Amino acid sequence: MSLSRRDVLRQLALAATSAAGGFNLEAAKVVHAFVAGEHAQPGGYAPRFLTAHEFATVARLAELVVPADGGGGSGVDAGAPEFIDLLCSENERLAEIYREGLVWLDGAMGRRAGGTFVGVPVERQTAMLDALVDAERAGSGGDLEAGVRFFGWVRRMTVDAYYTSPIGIRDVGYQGNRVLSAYETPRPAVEFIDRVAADLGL
Amino acid sequence: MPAIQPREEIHDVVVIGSGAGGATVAHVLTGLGVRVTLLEAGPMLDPYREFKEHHWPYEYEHRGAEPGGRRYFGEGKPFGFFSTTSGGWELDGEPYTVADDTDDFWWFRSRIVGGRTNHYGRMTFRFSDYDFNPRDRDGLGWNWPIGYEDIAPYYDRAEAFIGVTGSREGLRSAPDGVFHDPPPPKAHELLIQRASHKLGIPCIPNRRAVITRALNGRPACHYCGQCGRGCLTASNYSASQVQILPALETGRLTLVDQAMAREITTDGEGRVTGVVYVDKRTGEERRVRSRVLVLAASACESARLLLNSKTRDFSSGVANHSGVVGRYLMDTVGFGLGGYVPALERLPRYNSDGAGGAHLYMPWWGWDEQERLGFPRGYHIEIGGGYGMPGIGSFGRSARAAGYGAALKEHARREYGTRVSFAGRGEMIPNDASYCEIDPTVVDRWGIPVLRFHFRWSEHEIRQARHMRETFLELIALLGGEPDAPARRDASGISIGGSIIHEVGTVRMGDDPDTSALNGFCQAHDAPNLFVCDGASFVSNPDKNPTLTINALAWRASEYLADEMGRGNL
Repeated sequence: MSLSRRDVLRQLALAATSAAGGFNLEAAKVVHAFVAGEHAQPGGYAPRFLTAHEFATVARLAELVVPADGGGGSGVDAGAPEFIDLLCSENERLAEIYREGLVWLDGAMGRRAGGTFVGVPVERQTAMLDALVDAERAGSGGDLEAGVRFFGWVRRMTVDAYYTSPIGIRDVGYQGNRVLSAYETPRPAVEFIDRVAADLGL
Repeated sequence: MPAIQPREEIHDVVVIGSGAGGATVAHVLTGLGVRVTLLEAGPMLDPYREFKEHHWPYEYEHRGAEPGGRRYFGEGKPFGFFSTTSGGWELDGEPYTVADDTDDFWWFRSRIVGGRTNHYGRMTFRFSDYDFNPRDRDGLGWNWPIGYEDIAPYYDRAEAFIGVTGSREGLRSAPDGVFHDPPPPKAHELLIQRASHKLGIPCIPNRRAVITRALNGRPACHYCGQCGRGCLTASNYSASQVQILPALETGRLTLVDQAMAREITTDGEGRVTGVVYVDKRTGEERRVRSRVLVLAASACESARLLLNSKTRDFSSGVANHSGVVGRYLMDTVGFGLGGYVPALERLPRYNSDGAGGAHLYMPWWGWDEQERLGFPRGYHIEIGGGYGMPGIGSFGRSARAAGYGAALKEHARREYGTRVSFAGRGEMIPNDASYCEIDPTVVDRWGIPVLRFHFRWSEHEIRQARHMRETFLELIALLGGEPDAPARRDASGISIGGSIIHEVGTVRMGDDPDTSALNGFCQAHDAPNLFVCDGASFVSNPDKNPTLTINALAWRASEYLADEMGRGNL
């Protein structure tokens, strides 16, 4: 048996109130807060730290790192630029990483293609990212060293923002965080394991 | 008008610390009609405000990276943003030191009602009969003054009260107990179980402090897999929810939170009279008097309190005529190895959250073949895997492997749920080089002298960690998997002392007052109205995680204490 999130909260409240006297009010308050949070929808976002140009660059990077495809939306759809901007506004170390990294990126793109990162065609943008990934895999960044480090941050935080969002969680197919009356491993999963075990000689 | 000094109240029993030991004492004694005053160095726990059970990462702007992305810089809560409030290895204003010439040691301190039971893994294992006389078996360490038959009835009581899943297996290394039905194995565990059996290693339903049927008003587990966040329905054991709150309802428990014990007071003739503590809210020093004092502040904190209490009758610290207080510090031997199992790539997705933690584990199998194995004592194996709730860092590996773009997303879909992990938890043998003492110069924010640690793994533990590594590599190979690179290193991957948070042994029990501080009832040889009911009393540290034995020893000590009080002996 699986239930919706709303049912989860209702059951938790019920369970908590039956567990011990005196908790009823507290439990009710908490559940109310959960549900209120669920309805809160973010509106238009005004960057807290990044400039408009920097925010647009981070957004473009987020789209390239996690592009929209049949299985889910993009890093932008998942709120990665907002996530990065928020944490930069709260942490000087991150702020410096992004401010300096974005300066490096536009500078390097200017030398390669005569424009800012967002100002050049998409093939130029992906060529830059390919160069950074190649340098990273080669283990020595050379004159791309600063860019490799910066891209590592952008990728890491974009991936985190995506897979902690409803669309990213749906993309990989996480099915938990529910209230169940019993646990069972579904028969297709058990049968799959039987087949795999046989293949492995187990 | 001159102030009239009110006569100081003398409490029946004062308990210091509200974790597995202190909460058991409070619960059992109040149940027997004894009035208890419980001092806790941290604040009261408010589950409804603090627990993040069922929260999604997207409910927070920082997604779980914590404000300012602290997690990205190796800061923040030790077990992650969503974990329940507990404590940490680093506490502001509460330093400790490690001697220069020893291995490193990390000291976890919990400062909240319920102590470490708020966060612990809830693995709930009985010691075996042979664990009480290890010296008779291999000449190492020391024997306990009690045997399995002494503690078994208290294992029964503790298990029945806190609720433990498990199955009857008849294994000597893992004695059966009073069990709730265990949940069935998860898919990856079924595969691991086959590999385990191929190696002749038992792989049985896990024994965890989770209830699968209602118990004392606590509803059964609802299988969200989030024990580590704190359970709003108290369907797992945490001392605060399962013992402290019911004890408060008896009206016989007085809980004093934010009370940092500084020093034990005595009457100058070998009896304890109470304790001086700092009220952390005001910084003022207060004194509480008691007929009986029970220390349950955690093994090292209890030793620190005894050693910091030098009185006319106890010149080397209260209850320390033997000189063993602080000595024979043990942690658990830890070694972990994960791997990627391609065979799991096409496993049909399902909700594998379950009862929190693994549904199977591997108890020690080599207890009757130590000579062949080449190291003394043993370990059990805890297993990990499944489709966890995605969080910060979950797909960092895919990102690095696949670069960026569509390939990254494909990699993440393919990799999700294909990782398994093995964690060995083994027995450390007490040694002379592992102990804590009072640092001669450093004090904490309240001016209380702090502990200085000395810690050293011996060749026994190193060999055991090496064996863990070999076993895990064999298991991963049988699964057709690829072991993770970082843990391929040799037994140098043995855990840092204190990092498994199983410190025990610093106020050990024994029959001989010259070589032990406590008798088999956790009562000080030198001061009969003093008891130590945390892990400090342990003579050895078998591979069974210590919490259940702390519960059982505290339960036994409490019944003895109440009995002795009733007879007028205390």
